[in-house]
Amino acid sequence: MLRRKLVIWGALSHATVLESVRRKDLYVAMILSFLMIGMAALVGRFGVQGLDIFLKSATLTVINLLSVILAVVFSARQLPEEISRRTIYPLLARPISRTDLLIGKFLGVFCLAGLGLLVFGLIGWGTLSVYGMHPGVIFWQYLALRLFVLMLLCAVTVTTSVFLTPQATVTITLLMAVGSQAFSQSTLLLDKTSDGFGQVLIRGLYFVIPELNLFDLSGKVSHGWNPVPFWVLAALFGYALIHTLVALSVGAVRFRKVAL
Amino acid sequence: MVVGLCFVALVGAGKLAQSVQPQLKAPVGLTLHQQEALEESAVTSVFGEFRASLADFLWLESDRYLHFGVGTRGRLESEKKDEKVGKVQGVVAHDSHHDETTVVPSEASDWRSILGHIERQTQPYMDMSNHKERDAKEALPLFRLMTWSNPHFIQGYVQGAMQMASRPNKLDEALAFLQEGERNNPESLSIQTTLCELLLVRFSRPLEAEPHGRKALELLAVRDPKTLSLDEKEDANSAYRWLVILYRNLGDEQSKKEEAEKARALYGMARTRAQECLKRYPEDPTAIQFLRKYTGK
Repeated sequence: MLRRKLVIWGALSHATVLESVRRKDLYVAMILSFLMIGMAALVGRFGVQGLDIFLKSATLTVINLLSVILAVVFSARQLPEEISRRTIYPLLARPISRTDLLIGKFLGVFCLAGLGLLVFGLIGWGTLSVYGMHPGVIFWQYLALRLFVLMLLCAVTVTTSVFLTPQATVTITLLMAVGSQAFSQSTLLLDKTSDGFGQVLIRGLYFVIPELNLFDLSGKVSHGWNPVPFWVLAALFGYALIHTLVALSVGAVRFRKVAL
Repeated sequence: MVVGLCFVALVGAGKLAQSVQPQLKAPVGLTLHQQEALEESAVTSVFGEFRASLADFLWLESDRYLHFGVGTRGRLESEKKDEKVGKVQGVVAHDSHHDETTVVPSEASDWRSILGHIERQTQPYMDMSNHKERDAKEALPLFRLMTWSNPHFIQGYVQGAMQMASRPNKLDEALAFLQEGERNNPESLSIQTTLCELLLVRFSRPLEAEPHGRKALELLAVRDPKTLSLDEKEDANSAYRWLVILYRNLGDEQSKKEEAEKARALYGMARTRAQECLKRYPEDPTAIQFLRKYTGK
């Protein structure tokens, strides 16, 4: 049973990646990558001596932003486009469920987002290395945590796209990704100034809403901290997996009820 | 890319702004009050890097750099009485922390259990009470960039010069940097005080330091005390203190040379400054100590 499911999900995700390649979506990633290289060359012309931390911080901010934008934009339009182009009917005419389709789409966009992250990460690492800055092992830990967060973000975006239009999905999920740190800080500050039911509500929200800023090691990479212990990576993988499964479950329940 | 482009554009614009005659003395970036509010307000930590200008952004970056990336924010009123909330306190002179704590809460004050532990592992975090600052080597270009992009960024000049002065072979550069700040901000009492300190303490040139100390107090005299920022109040206090020390040292030198008249005149000037200081800052230890030791009061 599981083996059959894996084959179905694998085929659907493969088709998603192929479709994206056929539609030249990956060109967006390539153009962004070339812009990154161009920007790095421009900064190099101005000289980076003594600005190691600033350059590392800017590079990692660019990687964070581009990978998140790419993941959200890819994920938000998968299901709505299948529906609007009516290609969903022949797909569902095959022996696959709507849940299989949702999971297959999620796996496909996660692969694309991971590929994008790897490309941006390698460009960033190469750029820093060219300027003699070697971020060390913690850089790869940073990439691993970004991969976990992209998994979570792809799941949330695919699920949100079942409820909302692609434009609204992109807006909501980008706000969630970019505003995660602000939300986290607001929660911590509001907790200090509230009590009773208000405090319980705030704390409850903190544990329910995914805290994406926990997955951001860029501050530590930029400032040359040591790698984080393995248990942190494992715990964050578990955290991302739980939120991913919850998001996909909600999406699957809703998608089954959507009138096509 | 966007950050990089803004960075290049704003540095260029700052350099251009310096070369044209201003028709209107409009505020550039944030005022001293706003910068201080930005640094000490708990709410601003919520908005991360959405800052008003490159200079302010670089100022926060330099602050983070000196603290190994550890983010700090102002303490809430409720936190000021709470011993569990980690306090940020530096061990160096010119420590600019006023009632601050770390953005990531300390273990003792954190209710988030495992998520709190994880955040303390993934974000730059350490106990900041009695912390030492990092070698300022890499922060120096940031001070240079922030004062290029905003030549009226007083704290950039003051902190940048003090950081430069703490490094070997950078003393002359620190003085030149601060003198550039003085040219761009002739009305700044903070820069005058820092020039006085630098020339007195680091260069041992009391006669060159003295006019700057006096200028700082002249600028203080024409200012409405209500408009002084916290840093300016501290710098005004320092100006009195440096002048007391400066006149006392010069008086001691004259005493050794048995020039009693000159020594008495210098001690008199120190006494005047110490008394003025105590009117504004009644608990200033330097002024109290001087008056006790030299006048027996």
